[in-house]
Parts: sequence; structure tokens; C-alpha cells
Amino acid sequence: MNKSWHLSRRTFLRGAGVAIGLPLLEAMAPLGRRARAAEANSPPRRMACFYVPNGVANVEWIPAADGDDYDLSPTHQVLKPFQDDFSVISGICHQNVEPGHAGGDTFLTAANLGATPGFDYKNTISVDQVAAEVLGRATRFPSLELSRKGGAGAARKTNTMSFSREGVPLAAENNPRLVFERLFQESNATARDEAQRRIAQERSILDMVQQSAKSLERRLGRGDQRKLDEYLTAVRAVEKQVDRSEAWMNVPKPHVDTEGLNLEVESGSHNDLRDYLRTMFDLMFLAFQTDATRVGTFQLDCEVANHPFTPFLGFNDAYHGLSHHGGDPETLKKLAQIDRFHLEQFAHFLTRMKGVGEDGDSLLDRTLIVYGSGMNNGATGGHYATNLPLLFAGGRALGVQQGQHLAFRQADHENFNDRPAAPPLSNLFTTMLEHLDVPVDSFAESTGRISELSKL
Amino acid sequence: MRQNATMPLVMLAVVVVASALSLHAAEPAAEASDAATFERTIRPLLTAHCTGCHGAKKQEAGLRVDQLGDDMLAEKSAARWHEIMDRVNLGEMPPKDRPQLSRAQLTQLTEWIHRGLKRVEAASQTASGEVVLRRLNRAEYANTIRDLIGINYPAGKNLPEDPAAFGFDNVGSALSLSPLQMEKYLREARRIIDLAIVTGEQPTRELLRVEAERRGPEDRGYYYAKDLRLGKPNDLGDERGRKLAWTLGGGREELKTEGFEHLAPVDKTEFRTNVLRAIDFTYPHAGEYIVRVRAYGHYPAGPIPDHTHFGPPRLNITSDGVRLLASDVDAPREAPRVYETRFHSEAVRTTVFIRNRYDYSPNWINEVVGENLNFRQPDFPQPYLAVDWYEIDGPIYDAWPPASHARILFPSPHRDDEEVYAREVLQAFARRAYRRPVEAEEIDRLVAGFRRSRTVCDSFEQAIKTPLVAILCSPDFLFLSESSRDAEDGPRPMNDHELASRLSYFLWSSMPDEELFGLAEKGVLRDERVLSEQVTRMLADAKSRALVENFVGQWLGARQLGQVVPDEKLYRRYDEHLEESMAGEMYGFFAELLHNDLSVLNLLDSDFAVLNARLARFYNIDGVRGDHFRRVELAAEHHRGGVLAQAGMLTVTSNGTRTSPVQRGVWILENLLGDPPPPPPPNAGEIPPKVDGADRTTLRERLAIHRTASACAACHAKIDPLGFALENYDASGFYRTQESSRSQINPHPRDPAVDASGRLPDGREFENVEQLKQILLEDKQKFLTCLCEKLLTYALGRGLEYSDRATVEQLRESLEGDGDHLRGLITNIVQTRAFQTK
Repeated sequence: MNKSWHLSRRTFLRGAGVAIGLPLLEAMAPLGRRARAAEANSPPRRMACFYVPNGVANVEWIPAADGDDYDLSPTHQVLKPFQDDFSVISGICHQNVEPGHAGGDTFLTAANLGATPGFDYKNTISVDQVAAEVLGRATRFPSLELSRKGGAGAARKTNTMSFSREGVPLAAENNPRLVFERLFQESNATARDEAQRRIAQERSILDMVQQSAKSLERRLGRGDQRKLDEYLTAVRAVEKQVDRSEAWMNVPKPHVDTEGLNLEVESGSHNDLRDYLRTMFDLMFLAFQTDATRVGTFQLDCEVANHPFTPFLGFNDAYHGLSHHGGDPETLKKLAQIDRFHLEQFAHFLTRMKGVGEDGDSLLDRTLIVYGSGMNNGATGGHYATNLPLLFAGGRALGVQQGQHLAFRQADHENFNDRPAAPPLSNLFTTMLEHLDVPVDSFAESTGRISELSKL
Repeated sequence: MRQNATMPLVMLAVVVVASALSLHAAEPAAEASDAATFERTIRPLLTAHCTGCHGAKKQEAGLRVDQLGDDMLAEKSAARWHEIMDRVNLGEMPPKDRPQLSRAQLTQLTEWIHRGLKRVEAASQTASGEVVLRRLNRAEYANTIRDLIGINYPAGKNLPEDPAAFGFDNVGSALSLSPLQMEKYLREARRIIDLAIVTGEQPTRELLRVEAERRGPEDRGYYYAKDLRLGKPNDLGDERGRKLAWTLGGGREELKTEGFEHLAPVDKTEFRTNVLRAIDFTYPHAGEYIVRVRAYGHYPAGPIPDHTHFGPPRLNITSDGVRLLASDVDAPREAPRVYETRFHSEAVRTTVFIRNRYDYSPNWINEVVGENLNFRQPDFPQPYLAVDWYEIDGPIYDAWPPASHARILFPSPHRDDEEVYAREVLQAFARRAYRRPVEAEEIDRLVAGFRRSRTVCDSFEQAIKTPLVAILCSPDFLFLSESSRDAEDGPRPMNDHELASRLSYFLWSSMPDEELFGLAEKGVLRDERVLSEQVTRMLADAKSRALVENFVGQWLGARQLGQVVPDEKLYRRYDEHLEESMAGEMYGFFAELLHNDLSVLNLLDSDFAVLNARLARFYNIDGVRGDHFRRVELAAEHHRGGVLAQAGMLTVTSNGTRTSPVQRGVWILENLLGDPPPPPPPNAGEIPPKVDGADRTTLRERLAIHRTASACAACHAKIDPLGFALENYDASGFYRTQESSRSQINPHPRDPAVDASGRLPDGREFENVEQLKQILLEDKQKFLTCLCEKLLTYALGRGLEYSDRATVEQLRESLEGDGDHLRGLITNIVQTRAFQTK
């Protein structure tokens, strides 16, 4: 896996925070002039969220001791070089979500999916999108959604971690080539006139379709109007993206050399999984490094993913089947191997993030990262929504205290019964938003912050 | 925004309550007496027999009865009562080891429920299921673009996968739309219109042919290339010639004859040896190209044997990472054939690969022949692909400007008056794209768009693209827009254009054609006879393949093939070609029923199968040659017939390393019997998997735990026996009489024999799948009801509701009365009120 990238000097400077006049539109930054100036000058703060399905093998995942002087658990050994850069949080969960594989839908939203009478399914905004509303003002793309399966997925079988303010799943991209093209490839229209004309045409097109939607709306009933609202919301978002394109027209897209970047790797190929995950992590890293976006989510695999890892781990048992382990130690061992396999790819991402400097800090120090699952397969292979596997990494330059195991009381682990009752997982999210300078009073079920995660 | 979204809900609730009230008023006496019965008789009975497991403390199967009131119009209440009635009637509840209901109690309970349900049915006639504004899904988008524009371009390929609900991805309420997707619609529409409308001269068509002849014996691994530009030989020179036609190692040295290159089988990860490559081939323009390969197939010792485990070689051509062609090459040495395919390519520089792609290992061959042969030996018995030459030809236009261009920018006397012409063009295009007559005001907006665009564009052709793209991005195109009913009036009949679209998206997954448009414009489509004729015509059209693939692909699970692939060591016979053949069988079988109007009971059991050579080899059936699917009569010793013996179904219900009787049982309940079991309780663990090596307990023994643990027993007594019946088929659907712990080709002598017997909860027993099929046929009403439900769901694009039961019942009755013919069912669905109303 010896991959190298060659960023042009210009890109490097931008990534390093050296000012190249960042465009700011009224529409994207409804802030006072001074606040905007401050925002443009302050170094970027970022957020990344990663998801693994089917839960983890808790016995090898949860460290034996807690506090800031703890020994890494067997599974977390692969993160050894980053022990001071991340924390393990155990015993924590959302309070009102559905158990089982629907945990993928609610990991970042904390929604009670069936709560609205008359609807089978209603989700709410995910924390990354709350962050993107503020952090996304300064970049070409407000946020980046990636997943191995791609698209939106179905209710309770989501293929994306991100949900809009209206609760609409934000389709994720799974094709590395398309991600790359969107982030880094200039459109063919390089001449300014041509680009200007293209933008004018797109505006005109979006204008026309909104007019059609309005005349359609008059003929529709309420159920249909919800769908049309979804459409109009999407059109307006594209319109904003067009505004951004115009604002960014004079700033060339960062040049990233594709050498060593395997953009052709197929998302569906189980044999190429390692390459695929690394490529996607690399793309997320490059997006951050070049400041194409400051908020990203990546679902490493969708819930109930049920494929073998034969080329990497040497056994051919399927993933989801293993998660119903029935407490069998052999099965749990295999599951832990899968957890480590995923963490190795995550470690690759952390390595890259830590290797790039920005105003004396590393990218990692300026990025808040959540890694975890919305499901816990417990001691017996059941599918619970409690005691979720959670890692929290980065952000040491943003006032975050890392390098600890924060253990709360949990249902199925005898070691921690004398621990404090767990706060809602949403408290972690409000803590993150606070460190990202995203002003919110609360998020979902939050009751406050998790003070242990903030430096005194 | 959130506030707004909830508003309609509240209002909807008010409407439902209002209609419920009016119903109460209509039948006060019966209502009151039933309410009294509930308090006096039903509630005590529930408390005594049910709430222990389905009450405040425990909610087995997610059901809680202590909160159920007598008002069946309450949210989800009717469905729950119906479930209770079914379980009690079937004798499944209360569980056998608990106090049973007396016969009188049973009658009291079920009759009370039944009366209540009847009232709900009457009440909900007016508030029945409404089809929610349906976005075109990916397949519908691609087909609609194909029919609307007429370009050979894989439209929608980059759109995200669509969410499914109720088993299908054409359910409006579930088809969400996100900003990224809208961005892709915009990009795709621009691309499509750019390809459809051309300017300037026709791009030059070029033909490049690469011959297998060498220049001399020292040119090991290199081929001599000729560039035949428009048929004129023109040497490209050494460097480009080498680059274009380069293979390292080449085919078998000792087989080289007559300027053919002999390619041994390789898998898709092989990029060098035994691969022909056009390296850095440049497609000069985006457009249509043809690639041709002149080839024949053989075995080292001579022609392809009539009966072989491996069949002919398989030509595989990829370009820019996309497979263009996969074809058996069974032409003999005496008569090589030209294999070709026509495809769309973007203007890219890429590599074209030609392989003999065949996924099996030499070990498998040795296992089958029972000898330890060396695959490096020239006589190793594997199929060779002998290639004479290949060529890449294009871009090809059948006319200039192409038909897609002339169709949108048609000849008109007003051509010189740009604005008048633009109006004509947009009027005609919008009518087809929106699948309905377009109002003047809509055209005005588009013409205004053209006018704005014209000020910045150099040509009419450039400027007209803007409003054309807008049409392809508008909700009128992307959604099947049907004007809504008035909430108070209930369902309204759809107009002819709406009906034409519903019909064409049901049968073709695409837009109506000119004939349907014509009938809709005449206003005669609603005529029963006209509609039946149209169904017949449309099913005969090749576009009805979309119904087969989209319905069967989801109902029977053919689309899931490839998601969990049988382990390559355990299931050696499985490969890409077999996988595609499995899907082909599922589609081909349903198509056979559809086109010959056969009985749908063939799905439960049939004396024929629809096979190609690859699958026939896998099924051990002789005499089937060629890659196309055709009807093959079955004999008892083949152990096939019906979907339960189709390898595709058997593979998607396995987990890659072993069969899953539970998944198979659930599959049968859900897809054939319409009785899906509730999901397992979230805290259910799993049967510990088999430990490699020593452990030779059967799966059946390990699953027995299900039926002893009480939390599992209620459902698994129903699920597991159905799955056991299919144990004669392994995780890739291969017929077996012995379980195989190490390889399907070579089971361990001590592997246990397969036991496919079982006992259903009602006491009926069977020895094997054949007997289970007979039991299913005895219960054929269940299957017919299930099929009606599935097809109606697909036809309507919405989940069925309680109020649809009567429709389903009618469909089932007429299906049965009509000799169970599939086409009759489709015609009847189209005639239902549910299909013709919004």
C-alpha cells in the first residue's frame, strides 16, 4: 500500500490555511461582516463521522480499565500510535431509538423513527448536517457523504449516515471516481465566459423547474405535496451549489494527482475491500486537506452487510452471521478480527490526517471524528441499541481532551456497574458542536455536554 | 419547515376521524352491542389467555393486546385484530403448552373480530390507499430516456440506488430525493441533451483492426497491427501497433495456427497473460461504437465435447471498466464466427480487454476428472478461445443528424422564425416528456427560458438545449404526476393520460408510446375492451421484459444474486456466468408463463424449466446447447421444477458458506404464502456456527434449539420445516444427497446424509421437497392470494392497505376461475378500481 500523492504547491498552501481570498456569498454566510471576516481568517474546524455495521465484539473492544491511564483493548491495539489522539467511550447510547439494524439510520440523528403517527418512518437532521450548516459556508462543498453501498438506502436499512433538516436521507456516493471528479476535476468549461454561461443556464433551468413545481403543486394533495417539498428542497440546494460554483469560479479546484489513488476499485468487490476502504478514506482526507469541504460522513458498510473477508482474514464466515454470535468465543474472535480490519483502514486515515500540518497543528488536531456503530451485538449476539461501540478522535487543538476511556454504566458488562449513569449520546454531539464553534442550544435528546471531553 | 411538514398530518387525522364518526352514526345499534360484547366477553378472554405474553410486561412478537380497544378504526388496530384472528384460527395461539380457548370462546372471539373488520372495510372504502406522487426509479428513468430520446446511452447509471418499500423500488412514498441526486439529474439531463442534439459535421468513422499474425518468430508476445481507416490498410508504425495489440506470454505457443491466438481461461483479475489488450485506445468522440471479434472455440484435443462440465470458452470484452459483451464461443474451427456488440462510449482514452473469462481453477478440473493433471501441459482439458482478429469501429451514426436530433428538432415550415419554431419544438417535446397535454402557460415559461438562453448562445441549437434540459429536470418529467383527489370525495377516476402512464410504467417501466398517447387523446383508453387489447399488445412488445425483470427481480430475489456469493472453495461450480444464468432462469421462467399465458401454479411446481447450456450443465440435464434460455422438459431424476428448485432462489436464501433453512423458510412464507413471520425479537441470539473440522452435526440438529426455546418456537415451528424441505439443494442450489463440509464436488465420506423431511404445525408431514410442493398446491389459495398482493403492490406503486383486501380477494377468485392464467391476472389488475383511481 505504498501510495503517494503530489499536491501542487498552490493546493498545499491552501490546505495549510494560507489565505487565498475565500469567496463568501451573502447567501452562504448570513453573518455580520465582521463575523464573516473572522470566520474567513480563523483556521478551519472539521468534523468526520464513520460507521461500521453489525456492532463489534465487545469483549475485545471495551478496555478493561477506565480513565486516562488505561491499557488499550486488544481490538484497539491497531490504534496504538494514536492513543493520545482518541478516546473510547463505552456504555453510552441514544435513549429512544429502535434496536437492531435500524441503528444505522439513527446513529447521527437519535430519532425515534416510528414516533410520528400515520408514518412508518420519519427521521430527523443528523449532527453532521447541523455542523455543515455553519462549517460548510466557507467551502466549495458544504459536506461530503460517502458510503460503500451508495444512495439513500431504504427505511431502517440506510445507506447513508446523513439526513437533512427535513429528515430526508442524503444520498451518499460510493464510486471513488465520481467523488474525485466532483471534488477535484475542473469541468470542461475552463474559459471564464463558458463557465459563466453554464452557470447562467443552470440558474435558468432551476428557475424553470421551480416554476413547473409551483404550477404542479396546485394540483396536488397533501401526501403528494410532501414529495414535491422534498423535490423543491433538493432543487434549492442545487441552486445554492450553483451559487457556490459561481463564487468559486475564479478559484481553481485543487489539483490532486491521481497517481497511487485507485479510483477504479469497485465498491461491491469483497476481494478489493481493503483497497476500496483506503481509497474512500483517502478521498475524505484529500477533501479535508484541500479544504474542499469540512464535514464528511462515511458508512464503511451498510447494516446487515453479510459478506466474507476471506482474502484478508482467512476465514469465509459472513459478517452479519457472525454478529449473531450467541456468545460463542470462536465467533467473537472472528468478529474482533473484522473490527481490527476496519480499524486498520481507519488508522490509515488517522495517519494521513496526523501527517499534514496546519498552522502548527495537524489536520487531525483540528478535526473531530466519531467512529462507531448504531448497533451492539451484546454478550449473546442479540441486536441492541444500548452500549454502542464509540471512538472519539482528534480535535486536540480545538480544546478536546483525548487519550481516555470514558466508561459509563452499561447493561451487559459487569466491570462498570459502579460507573455514573450514561448521558444520552446526543450529549457527545453537542460537545462536538461546541468545540466546532457551531452554536446550538441542544441536539436531539441532549441534556448538556460531556465535560470530561473538554480540556479544563 | 418541520412545523409545516407536520401540519397536513394533523389535518389528515381529522379527516379520518370524521369519516369514522359518520360510520358510527350509520350503524349505532350493532356498534353499541359489539362495544358491549368487547367489555363483557372479549376483554376478559384476552386478559386470561393473551396478555401474559402480549401485555404491559412482555410483548412477544412486538404485539401488545392489552391496549387494543374495540375501535378497529384506531391506528393500525384493524391489522392487529386481523392478525390475532388468523393466529387463533390457525390454532397457533394460544401456544400448545398454555390453556386453550374453548370452542365457544374461539367462535365468540373470531366472530366479533370479523364483524368489526367488516365495518372497517366499509368505512375505509372512501379513505382507501392513495398512490403517492411517484418519482421515476433508476430503471424507469433509463427506459424513459431510451424511449423519449432514442439514444444508445446508459442513462441514470450514476444515479443512486433507489430505496424500496413493501418489496419494490417503485413505491412513491419511499422514493426520496436528495440534493446530490438532483445535482445528478441536472448533470445527466445536460449530458443526454448534448448527445441528442448535434452541431457541425458528422465525426469521421474509423475502423481499427488488430490481427493475430506475428511479424516474425522473434516477436514473441507481440502482434502485428493494421489500422484500417475506413477500410484502407494503413500501418500505424511499430510503437502504436505494439501498444494497441499487446499480450504478454500470449496464448498457447504449441496451439498457434493459421494466425489465431489461443487464449486459455483467465479470471477478471488477470490483465496480462492470456489477455488481448488495446492499450490506451482513444475513442475520439462520445457516441456509438462496434467491437467485433472473429473467433472459434476448442479444447486442446479438438472440438468442444458434447458433454462436458465446462462448456465452450467465454468471450469477454470490457472497455473503460464496463463489460461490453460476454458470450459463449461455440463456433467450430471450420467456421469461425464474428462476435460483435454495439455500445456507447464517452470520448475517453482507456484500455479494451478481450479475455477468455472462465472462473474455475485447475483444481476443480482435477477434482472432476479425478486425476492430477498439470495445467501447464498443452492437453490440459480446458476450453480455448481462438481469436483471429478484433476491431473497433466508430463512432457510428445511422444518419446525420442522428434520429435523436431529428426527432426533437423536426422539420417545420417555421424553422426560420426561431421563436415560433422553439415553441413548436418545446410543445412537442414537453408533451411526450410530461406524458400529457401541456398547457400554454407552461410552454410560455419554456419559451421565455429559450429567449434568455438565446441572448448568450451562438446558435439556435445551443440555446434550445436550456429549456430541453429544464424539461428533463422538472417534476412533471421526474415524477408520475397525477392530480390529487379531494380529500372529502375519496378516490377519483384518473384521466386517460394518467391511466396511460400507469399502464405503461406497470408493463414497460417506461413512458407510453404513440399508440397509447393516441388512445388517451381520443379518450377511449378507459374502455374495458380497449384496455384489454392494449395489455395484450404491450405484453407482446419486447419492452415488457421490464415487467419480468423488475417484478421477478424483486419478488423472487433475482436482483440479490451476487450480494452474498457462495464461497469459492466450498462451491467450486459457482461463477459469474452461472450467477447470471440463475437470474436468467428466474426471468426466463416467468417470461415463459407470461408469453404463453400458462398457469401461475407452475411457479409452485412445473414439469419444465427454462434453461441455457450453463445452467443445464449445473443441473445435470443433457442436450441443452447455447447460451439462450429455452423451455426444457424435466424428468423426476432432475429434481427441478418450480421456483423452489431454482438455483437463484436457493442461492439468495443461503449465506455463502451454508444453506439457511431459516432464510429459506421465511422466504417461502413471505413470497409464496404471503404470511411473513414477524422479525425475531431484538435480543434473539444466533445458533452458534459450526466449528471447522471436527463438528459434523447437521444444521437440523443445531436448529432444533429454536423449537425448544419458547421465545423462538411459535415462529420457527412454522419456518424451519419449510426450509428443511430444501436441504437437498446446497448453498448454490446444486442438488445433493449428502451434506458437504469441504467441497460440493467432493464431500467428506463422513458428512451426514441430507434429511429433507419435516412436519408443519398443522400436522402434515413430508419426506422431501416434492411432497412439500404437493402440500403447497393443496393450499394453492394462499399462494394465489400472495401473488395477487405482490403484483398489485407492484402495479400500484404503493403498499396495500386493509381496504385492499376485497380487491385482492376478487383478483384471486377470478384468477382461480380462469385456470390460474398469468395474463388474465394482469388484465384484471388493470381493470380494478384501485388501478384506475387516484
